[in-house]
Amino acid sequence: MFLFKNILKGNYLQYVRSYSFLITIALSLYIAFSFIPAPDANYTTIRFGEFTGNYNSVWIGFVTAIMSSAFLSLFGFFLINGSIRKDIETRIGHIIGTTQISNTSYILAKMLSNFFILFTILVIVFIVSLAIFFLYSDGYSLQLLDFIIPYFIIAVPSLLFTSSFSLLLEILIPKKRLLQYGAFLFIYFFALFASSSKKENTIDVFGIQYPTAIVSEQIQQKHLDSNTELAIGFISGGRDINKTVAINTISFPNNYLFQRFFWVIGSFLIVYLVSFFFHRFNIKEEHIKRTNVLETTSEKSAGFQLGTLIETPEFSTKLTPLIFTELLMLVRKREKWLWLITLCGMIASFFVPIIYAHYYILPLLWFLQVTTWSNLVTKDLEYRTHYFAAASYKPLHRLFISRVIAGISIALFITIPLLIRYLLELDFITIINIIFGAIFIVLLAVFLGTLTKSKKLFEIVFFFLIYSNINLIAITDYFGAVNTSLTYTGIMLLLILVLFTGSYFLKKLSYE
Amino acid sequence: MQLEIKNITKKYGSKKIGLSDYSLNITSGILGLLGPNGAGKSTLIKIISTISKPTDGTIYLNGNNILKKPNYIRKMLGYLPQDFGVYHNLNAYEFLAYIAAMKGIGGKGLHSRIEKLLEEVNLIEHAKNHLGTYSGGMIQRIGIAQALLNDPKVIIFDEPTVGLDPEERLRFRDLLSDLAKDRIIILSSHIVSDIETIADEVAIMKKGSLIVKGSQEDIINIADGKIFESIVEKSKINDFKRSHTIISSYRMQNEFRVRYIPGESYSDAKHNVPATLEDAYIYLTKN
Repeated sequence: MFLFKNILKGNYLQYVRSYSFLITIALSLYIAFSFIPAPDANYTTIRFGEFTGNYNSVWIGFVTAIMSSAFLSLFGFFLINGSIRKDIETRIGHIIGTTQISNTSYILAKMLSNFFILFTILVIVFIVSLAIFFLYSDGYSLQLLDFIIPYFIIAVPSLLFTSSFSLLLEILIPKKRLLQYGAFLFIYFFALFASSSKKENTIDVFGIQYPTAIVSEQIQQKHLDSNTELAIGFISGGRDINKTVAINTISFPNNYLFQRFFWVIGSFLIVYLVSFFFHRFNIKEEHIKRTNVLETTSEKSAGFQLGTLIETPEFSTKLTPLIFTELLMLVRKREKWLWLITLCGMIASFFVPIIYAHYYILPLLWFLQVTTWSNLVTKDLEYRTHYFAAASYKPLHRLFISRVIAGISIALFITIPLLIRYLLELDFITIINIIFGAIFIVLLAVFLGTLTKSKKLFEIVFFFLIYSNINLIAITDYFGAVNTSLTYTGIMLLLILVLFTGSYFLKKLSYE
Repeated sequence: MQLEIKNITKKYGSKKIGLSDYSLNITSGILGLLGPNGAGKSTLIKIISTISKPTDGTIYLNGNNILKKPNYIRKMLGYLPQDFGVYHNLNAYEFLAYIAAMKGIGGKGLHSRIEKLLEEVNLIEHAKNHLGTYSGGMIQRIGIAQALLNDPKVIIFDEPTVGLDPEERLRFRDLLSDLAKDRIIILSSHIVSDIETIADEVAIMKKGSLIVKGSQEDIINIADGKIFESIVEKSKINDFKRSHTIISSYRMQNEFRVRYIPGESYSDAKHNVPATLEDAYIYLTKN
């Protein structure tokens, strides 16, 4: 119990005391504000046909709880995923593996600490929602229970499930981070969209179906024969003040409560079942390889007879060897099957309609490189090579620049088919926009990595970008898919300069 | 070659002090850096290696202020950190070529220099294997090889013998002696015997300050006449440890042969023995 409590506490404190958590809080505040659009905003988050609710306690509590359930589960996964990996990387796992803590207790502690991290963010969202209520409420009084109950019933079970599902993926497919992301996204979108909109739905992990169906019914009672189809997300188009409905109560029947309880129990059950497959930090594959190498080298010790070392090295400030090795590391970092998918995507970009290639295939192919770019400038900390980097010759002008160039080269390489097609169409503005997009996304990784000394934030931000890009949201279009004006190109150029300058000076500070 | 460290202070926040008004002159040869944990050895090494900047003070190498012009020393620096890693998806040859590029060296001779270094650290057979498959000792040898890539004039080794087998440690000491002829070598180690056999000078640090710097003979002289050996019964050993500073103890059948620095009472200190560097180190840092 002592070990369990301390692992739980240690994990939680380790995260909340990190710099990334501060940024996560800032991001959470922003996201919480975005959940309830300002009355004059040109988007909505939950809409039934053209209808939305009046800004009273029930509606704001309902919307923020549902948005938290769906979206906090999504970006929360990227936030908490990797907690076991961290124990492997820091080698704390080797110590934990020799203690008396059982696999189930260890994973349960991990699951609960991950959940508390997400719950902390949920509390922030809740507080912001309260503030928003006082800001936007149309003269309605605050009914605190109407506010709180949806959070506990809708959002909390979803976050628990996300916490345990993240561990399930980490344990079943260890060392394959991108595969973990892919599996999660597949399950997430399946759970979100594949379920029907009926009230009773057992695979409704996020608890969205029943309450939205109830609200839809209430709107239909007031506006007969109107379309009240649910739209959820960040939907373009503002709130029509003439099409708002006062939703005064949302009740949660026992059936629904039982379903939510089922997901809570299910989350703990996952922890229990997955503990049977936990490697307990005995990663066999690496062990076997190391043993083989050791056996063959133990025959002869190092001689250290360097007296015959006559070749005096020449001084050279060429960047090409650095860029070449950086590229080599980036290419080797990705599994072969991912490069195969990338290659297939690039070939497809030659043949599918150019709009699809640009709008969908390009951002998806770039997204496959998320872990390549996320540690472009943080890998020295990950591999503990930062002393070599810091003591190298002109690290800022040579090493840092080489890394940026290598990252951009990969991004540009992926765009080649699309660039060729636009070149044939003589569409030079789009070509520039795509090139700027490639530079922008890499510099964003460099900037966020240098700022936070962690790859997490970029991975989360990049995921949100891809989500918005697929939904063709103009404001997040960084590669000229939706925006084609020269002003946009100018803004992108400015952003690139800002990101580069910011990264450069942050890196300069870190080397000093 | 001359490295002058002048009044270096390193503060972490407002309260914690890593180095306090530290001054030291180092000329060609091997300087052994000794001190308990938290003495400031790593802080000093990081500052000389230009990885960290001091809060105050200056460092000159051959008259050049390396805090203002860090690339002056970086061109001629060979540094082996105490705790370092490698890129797992590069092989030994690629890694050394990459570090060479980082250090700003290249040219036609680089390939054969890397090969020779790999031969001498006995990794040539595995030069094509990814470093992720290497053992701790092999990684340490790669670390030594990378430090010598650029024919450095200033060599800083932080705990270099960790992971080396006893034979390798002996050969490594010989290597350092050979290299020291026209270079500055700073060797930081907890293993006094590593320093004892090869260092021209020794600097002992404690709590961020330099306690003493000099030849081994000078430092040993400080402790001379203050080191004793006694046979202590097993039942009395705990009381004995409370009264004196123990340097080493060898367990025999029902008693211990103890080498120690006497406490306040010298009454039971009878058998005076010649001091060694380790005795002097403990006398200066613990007593």
